[in-house]
Amino acid sequence: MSNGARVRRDIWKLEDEQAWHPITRAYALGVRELTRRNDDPDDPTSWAWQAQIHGLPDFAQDPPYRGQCQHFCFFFLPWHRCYLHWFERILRAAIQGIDEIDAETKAAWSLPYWNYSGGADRLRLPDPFIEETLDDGTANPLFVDVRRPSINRGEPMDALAAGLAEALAPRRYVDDPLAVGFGGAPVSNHWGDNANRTPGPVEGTPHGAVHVAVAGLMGDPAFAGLDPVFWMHHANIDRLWEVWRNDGGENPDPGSEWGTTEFHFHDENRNPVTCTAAAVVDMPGELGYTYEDTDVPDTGRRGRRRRVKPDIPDNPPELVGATEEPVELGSGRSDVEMDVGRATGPAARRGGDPERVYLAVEGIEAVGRPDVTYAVYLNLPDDEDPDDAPEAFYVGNVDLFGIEAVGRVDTDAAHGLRRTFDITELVAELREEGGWDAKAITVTFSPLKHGYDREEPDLPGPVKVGRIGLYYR
Amino acid sequence: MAAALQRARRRLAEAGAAAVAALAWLRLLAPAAGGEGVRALHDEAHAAAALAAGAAGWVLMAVAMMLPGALPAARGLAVTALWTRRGRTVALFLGAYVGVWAAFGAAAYAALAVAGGVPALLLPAVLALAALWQLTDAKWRAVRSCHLLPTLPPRGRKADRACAAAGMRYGRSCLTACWPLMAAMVLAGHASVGLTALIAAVVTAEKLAARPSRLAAPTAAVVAGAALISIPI
Ligand SMILES: [Cu+2]
Repeated sequence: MSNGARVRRDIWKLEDEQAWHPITRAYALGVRELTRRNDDPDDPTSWAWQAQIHGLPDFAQDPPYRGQCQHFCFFFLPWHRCYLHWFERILRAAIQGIDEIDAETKAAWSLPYWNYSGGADRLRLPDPFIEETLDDGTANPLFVDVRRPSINRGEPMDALAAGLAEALAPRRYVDDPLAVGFGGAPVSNHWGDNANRTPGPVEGTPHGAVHVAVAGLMGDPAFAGLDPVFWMHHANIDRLWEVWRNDGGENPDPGSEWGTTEFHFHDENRNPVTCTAAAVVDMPGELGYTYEDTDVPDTGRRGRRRRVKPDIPDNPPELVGATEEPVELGSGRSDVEMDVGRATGPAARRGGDPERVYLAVEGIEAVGRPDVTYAVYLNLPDDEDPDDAPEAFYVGNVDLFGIEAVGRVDTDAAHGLRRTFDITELVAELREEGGWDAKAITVTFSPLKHGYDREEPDLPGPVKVGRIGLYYR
Repeated sequence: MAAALQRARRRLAEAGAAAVAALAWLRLLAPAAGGEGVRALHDEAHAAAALAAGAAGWVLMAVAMMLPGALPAARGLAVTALWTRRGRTVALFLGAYVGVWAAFGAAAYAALAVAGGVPALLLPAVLALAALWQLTDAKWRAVRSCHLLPTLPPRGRKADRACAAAGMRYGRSCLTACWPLMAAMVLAGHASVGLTALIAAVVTAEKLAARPSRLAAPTAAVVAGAALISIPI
């Protein structure tokens, strides 16, 4: 940790030290101050404007500042780091002007992060976000009443929504578009690839799954930034990027298009600023902060196993099986069977087993905004209940945060959506247990639980998957 | 060398189609570049079998102009097909796509035949219309919908049919996006190499651009310029 860098703290540790820790309280008062600025619709430091940077209703865009969030692609992490950084500067400046906050808190203040992956008791919202009033009886700026009722009652999210095993697994930031890179697939140009976007796994879970679990404003990219939890959630996602690097992950070349593409924000003095990935990859040096904790968590047996053989062949993955018809997912369990053939391209030349196996959920579409994240299982026996989250068959999640953008042709970002899972270690385990047949597989989708009562998801219509594909590499 | 070629072929499922587009350009440019003899041969062919030569000329032009911009889409479908079906996927998709443009040409030439003569100002008028079309919302919605590709079943006749249907759907989007430009090409004919190259550059650029609608004003200006130049004096 470099000297003088501020530290973004874990909200749970703050609250363990002291309920309504001064840092938390300063966040609330800062949010209140930014909300006051909403009266001026042209003030880029207002709470409303800051949320509009992420999204405008109906996916409208107001370049270069508003409706700009980068999703389903390799700009997801750096764009949100820029976004958070300039938001934090604005909020920090606002906090300096609030009399009730003491000098020590003002000097130390950084955006806290919400680490929901640290155990069963961390899967809920911390109390300062679900209490309706502050200790002085005034309305609590951190409370939002339209969240999922179970979340505002302090009930936990489904643990699968906060899982890190898939998020931290990829060894490359960018990989072949049909494989799984940590940061998501490149998008900036259609040359050579089609527009079926593939987000990095961290963008799906925990990112998207937590958005959907909190729901309300958080469930819609156009309004998510209006819920104060949003910023702490994204601080945690940003922290996971550092955790991944701490685990040996390497970022793309800062001189590449990934590093040099410019994004536009405002600083605390309302002056326009540009931000690039290259300018934010060195956090303590360039941005002046670090995270309280970037230790690599234990991601279980499969995570350890992946470490043993992390090499990835350079040839592209090849399809060896897929569903014949589109699949419709509903509010219960869906089992999908498909035939699998043998590799006949580069994956076959090594003879025998593929080095990597990928499961792709392709052509995902939905009506409206489905309030659901699906857990995906491979070869789950009929007598296993998906609600027990049987880890031996668990592939990962398909979250649908931002699905409304898919298939729209009114902006230049028109795209489809694909989610890909690296299931090499899962297949190896199934094979050892006798649960693998190289000629056919069954893929099971099952909605995650919402709260203790296991509320059913609310679906405006069926969720459609164009095809499920199995790829060897 | 052989290994490098092998690798390229593995990476580029659409390489064959790119070669076809390149050959189409060579053939299209031959009468203009090949000197008196080639030109005479070409004129002879048109005189001897006007309909066949006209149809062949139109398809040749459609392939040269429209294939390059469609290669990424073909590639996108090919890399998600079974390894043994990659070439077939590219051929079916692009074949159906060129078929849409062939049908457009047939309809346009039939309309011309019914109308009899062509007024000299029709070409500049259609180009002016095309320039205006570049500025409409409908045009860019169609360009963007080209990038939305369906998923295809893995094997058999079903895969063939779905692949051809994807090519036709892609063709329809592309037709919506480019019909006035290609109507101008019907009037100008494939001997107008300059106009062919210009319009091909426009349609290819807008297909491949990451942010296509940014090209609205510049391409409208280019096409309007072509309209001005084509006014007979
Ligand atoms: Cu988000």
